[in-house]
Amino acid sequence: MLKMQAVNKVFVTDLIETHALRDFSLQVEEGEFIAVTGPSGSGKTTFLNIAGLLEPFSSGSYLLDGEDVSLMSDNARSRLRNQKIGFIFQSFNLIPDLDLFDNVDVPLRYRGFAAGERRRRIVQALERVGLAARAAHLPAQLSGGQQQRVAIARALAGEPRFLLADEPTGNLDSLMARQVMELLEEINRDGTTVIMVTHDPELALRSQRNIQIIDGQVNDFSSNAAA
Amino acid sequence: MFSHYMFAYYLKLGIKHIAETPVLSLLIVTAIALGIAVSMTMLSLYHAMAHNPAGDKSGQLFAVQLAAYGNDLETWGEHDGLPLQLTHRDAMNLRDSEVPLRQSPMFRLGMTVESRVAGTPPSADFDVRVADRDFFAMFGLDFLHGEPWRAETDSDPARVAVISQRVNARVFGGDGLANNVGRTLLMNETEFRVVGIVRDWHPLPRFYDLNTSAYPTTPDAIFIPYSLTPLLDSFPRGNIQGWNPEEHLNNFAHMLQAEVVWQQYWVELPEADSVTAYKNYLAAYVDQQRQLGRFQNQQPRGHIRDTQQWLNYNNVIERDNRVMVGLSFMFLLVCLVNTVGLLLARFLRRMHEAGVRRALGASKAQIFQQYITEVVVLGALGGLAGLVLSLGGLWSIRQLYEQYAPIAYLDTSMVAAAVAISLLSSLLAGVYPAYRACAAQPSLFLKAQ
Repeated sequence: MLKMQAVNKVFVTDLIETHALRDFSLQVEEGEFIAVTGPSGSGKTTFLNIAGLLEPFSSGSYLLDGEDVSLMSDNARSRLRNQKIGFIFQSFNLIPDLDLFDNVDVPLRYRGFAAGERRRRIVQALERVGLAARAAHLPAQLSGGQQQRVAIARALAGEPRFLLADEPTGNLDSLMARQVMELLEEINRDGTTVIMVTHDPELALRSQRNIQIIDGQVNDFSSNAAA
Repeated sequence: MFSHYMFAYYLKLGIKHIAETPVLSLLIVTAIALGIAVSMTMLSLYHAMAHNPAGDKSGQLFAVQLAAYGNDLETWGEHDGLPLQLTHRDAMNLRDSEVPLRQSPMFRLGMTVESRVAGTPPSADFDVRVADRDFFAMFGLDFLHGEPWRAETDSDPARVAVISQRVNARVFGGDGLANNVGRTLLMNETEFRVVGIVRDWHPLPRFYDLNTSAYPTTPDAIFIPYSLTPLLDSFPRGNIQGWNPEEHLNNFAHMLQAEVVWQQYWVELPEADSVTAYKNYLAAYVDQQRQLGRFQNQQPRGHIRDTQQWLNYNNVIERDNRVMVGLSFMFLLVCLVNTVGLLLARFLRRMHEAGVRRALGASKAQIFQQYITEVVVLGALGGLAGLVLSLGGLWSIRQLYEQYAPIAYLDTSMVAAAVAISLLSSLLAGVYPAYRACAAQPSLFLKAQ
């Protein structure tokens, strides 16, 4: 379970103080598929970064599986991120000079798995996204949709409890976007909690719950299933 | 934790990145290599110069000096008024002291030795050390065969010689290890009987005789008794200095009586008591000589210096060399500053990768370790290239400066120092860029690729 309570995130510069999140409270239950929408600059990505332990927050509390992350060291947060969270980005964020196999290997290395276990997970993850045959290719040799599938394989290899996706279809054409979305739904059906930031209302409607963030606050809760 | 498992991974990544960015990597390696090469070349020379070959006995072996000039000159010309060598008369007199455990006057000659080895020139010129029997034990020469001449020979001259391995090979053939004790050596057309054969001995700097060069290219190869001095009739190889303008050296016999200095004198004083006793002995000797009409200068005195003091006193390491070492390390610093810049460019260009790795579970420490490992690989390559360049630099010095030819080499300690300095300096250069790479907020680099 992911639980944020009155979380604030303030960016301070010499000239201005920007409140990216204000009294932001949200609870995500195990196995949910949540779409996060909102206008540009509303704080969606900031929320996702804080949820993924990539950014600290200014005040409030955040419990991930009951653990207070604000009290954790960088090492502990990194370990938690590695074990429980998978990321999918709009721009894929594959490491360009590593082949697909080594890209998927990255989170497994930090987990400390033995070589045999890593290989098994990598092959399994690439097979799941249909790219096992191209394990030795570099990202630049793939289409955008294929690259995003590799990113999904990388996120899946560690068998995370939470999958955080920041506009995962933003750089893809509609066919590719649909394929990626179907993959995310399949992953969710297997039990992984998915939190997806998107601008696409159609995709948002396919989630179980749609959260709208406006001016750094959760403005609206709606259950698509109930609607 | 910097585990073996992760180190292997970082090493693989580091080598991969180095191979993928050959130009930038080459620049970094070159910057480190140049700094290491220049500093190691100068440091090697300095190290060789600063070497004290007396080792553990350095504090027990003392060079003797006497202010033995007349009153017609204010100083001898040395900065403290003490000549660096002794007259033959003083050397003979000092031999009577019973204070030192061992002692020996000495000087160097050049002699021509006949060779009996087929296919080689019939004669060869060698440096010959004329000294007392104590010389061998005092300086720790290693006998392969035979032994020093008998103690009586120091007072009752005999034409005997101890030869080095090199002379043994040149004169009698073979590898120099054969036992040719008892055979005859023909030197300057005079027969000498070989009583001992020692391993080649070439201490650098040649601390016991710094006259013409601290770093002679040819070592003393033959040793003959000092008691033969009056019979040799051969001027020494080395400086001969006198203060009396009236004194003209007509012949060798005259030089033995004249107030000219040309011999070295070393004593072994193993305990503080014997040092004090010998100083008192020298003071008494100076007083005695004054009463005999010698030592009529303003500050008549005797002085002893142990080996290290003697090397320092003779400025074996010139101030210029110290300055050069300092400058070379300044150059290394400049190279390192450049390396910092290049590493910053290298790592900041890969901030995106660092951000991705952080998002996938790497801690700041792990990113730091990954980059530092890469720096160590670059540093090792730079050190290796620097060593090769150092060898080239030392080779150039040997070609350009004959006086440094015997010492301008890298020894194992300098190779180890080069490796250590290159790794340490590259680590120093890498800390800030690696810190910058790991300290940045990963989310800043994940939004756009």
